[in-house]
Amino acid sequence: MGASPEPTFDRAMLRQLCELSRLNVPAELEVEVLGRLQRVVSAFQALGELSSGPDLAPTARPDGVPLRPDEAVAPLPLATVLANAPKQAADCFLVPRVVDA
Amino acid sequence: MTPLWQQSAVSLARAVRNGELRAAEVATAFLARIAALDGTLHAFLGVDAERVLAEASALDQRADRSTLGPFAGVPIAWKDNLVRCGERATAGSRMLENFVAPYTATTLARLEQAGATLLGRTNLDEFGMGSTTENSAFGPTHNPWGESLVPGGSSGGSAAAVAADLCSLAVGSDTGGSIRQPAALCGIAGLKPTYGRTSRYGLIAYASSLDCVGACARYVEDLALWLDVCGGNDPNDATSRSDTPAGDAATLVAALQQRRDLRTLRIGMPWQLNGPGLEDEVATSMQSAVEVLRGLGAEVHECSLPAVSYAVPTYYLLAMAEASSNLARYDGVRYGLQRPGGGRIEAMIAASRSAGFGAEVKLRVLLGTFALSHGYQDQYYGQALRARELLRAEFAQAFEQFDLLLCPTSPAPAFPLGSHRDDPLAMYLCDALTVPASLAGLPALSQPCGATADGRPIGMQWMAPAQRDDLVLQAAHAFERHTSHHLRRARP
Repeated sequence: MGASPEPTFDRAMLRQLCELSRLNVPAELEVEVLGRLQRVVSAFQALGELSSGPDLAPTARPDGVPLRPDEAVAPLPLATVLANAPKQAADCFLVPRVVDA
Repeated sequence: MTPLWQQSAVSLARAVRNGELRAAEVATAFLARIAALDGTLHAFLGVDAERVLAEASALDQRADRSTLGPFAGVPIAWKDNLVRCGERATAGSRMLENFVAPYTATTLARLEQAGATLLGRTNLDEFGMGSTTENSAFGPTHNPWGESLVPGGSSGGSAAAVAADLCSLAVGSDTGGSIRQPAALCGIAGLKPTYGRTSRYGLIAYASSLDCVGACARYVEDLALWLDVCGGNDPNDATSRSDTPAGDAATLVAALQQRRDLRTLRIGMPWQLNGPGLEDEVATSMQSAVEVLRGLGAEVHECSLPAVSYAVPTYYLLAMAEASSNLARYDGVRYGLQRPGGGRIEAMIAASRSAGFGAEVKLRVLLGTFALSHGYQDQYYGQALRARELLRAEFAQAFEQFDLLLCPTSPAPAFPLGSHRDDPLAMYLCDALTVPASLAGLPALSQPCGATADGRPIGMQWMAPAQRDDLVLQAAHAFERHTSHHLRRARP
């Protein structure tokens, strides 16, 4: 990272990040958001000064994540699961059409 | 007689169990105080007074009061990113404004079991992302020490509620300092336990390798009792540690009584956390605190943790990357806000997320996505993972020499609302002294150790090796017994 140049955030990069993040940034806010992204990433470049650390621990727990017994447990009732859905029909979540008829 | 709202949780519970107080009487007193003071503080996002009184009255109906739990009748608030069945859980976000939880977080379930009166939901920065509580979609919380001041964050509502005596104890979450920093700015004690010691089940996720359920209170003994009750393994959380027994009440409380001074304790003060960037009055308060600690028999020496200089970028890169993944679940389909997207599902998801998330959350999701994206992942996310391991190794080395590490909790006391709002980097630096313990998964506790000339509280932070939560509690309790900083009150 230390040897890598600092990336420059431009509109194309912002659009790509928005696509990946499933977010929209209105055109009138693009300059402000680009400025914030650039400032934060510029400040984070300092991390490149560190030489590589020790081997990575694969998880947040140094002793590894334990596995639970493979037992079936009762799921939440359908009505409970659907209670917070913005839209529902016929015991299903309702989404816009994905495949055109 | 000391008013009810100024008594410790331990005292209140004892009085309820002995029959000297009724749980409903305690609940009524605290509800009246919330009604009188919270209009200006905005510490709470929701208080269901009817449910509170019904549950307290039900406790009073129990025939044998001696069998009541260790938190019998104690009014406890919870940060609104912990779910309780039948209650709203907003995480401070428009996205979850109308979400009603279908189950209860382990921490809250254990408190219910222990007889606590769960009082209400407290304000927070949206999804825990912030250091001032200004990022709440429902408006900021004000510091009880000055309404123009921030209370810290992200558990600012919890800290302000305790500091104003609106509850005896408040549960929060601490990802990079979200309990300790507001505790310091509000003049109370705040505990982030060892990562995995408390269950994250029912905590709305921000950064899962760092998120930790903790608590704040006026008295250290109350925090010890809370960890006794709420700590311990939970099969519903794979990162919950199995080497701490669940429900082993009174172990930590008993440990406090075993140490009345600090003789034989070796305390290290990393110079990187005890000098650069501190406001003068913070440094002066720390010097006075160190004199007290030496007077109690502790050996205090300077030490070095070079990697903490990189802790802020390390923490934010990891937290933002994990947030971008964790928050992907808010798609406007299964729960949360939904906005139309012109008939396409991708557009509907983007429209829903853009309307539901606030500016800081969107910035962090974008940065986290960048840190994980093709071509940059190893340079940013990978390097941050390596830096975290380096920091963990340095902490392990330091704990070969010292029992505890000590530094201020925050480089500055409470600052005016709005002063950092347009500068994300200034906001991120508020966490410079708290993120190291988070990255290493260590127990850490903030307690009051002084005040500025104009009365704003100053806090100091203890850190200990993993699973030595008893040490931070013992040291803080000994300091508390010999000082009176914790007894200063903003609202009589």
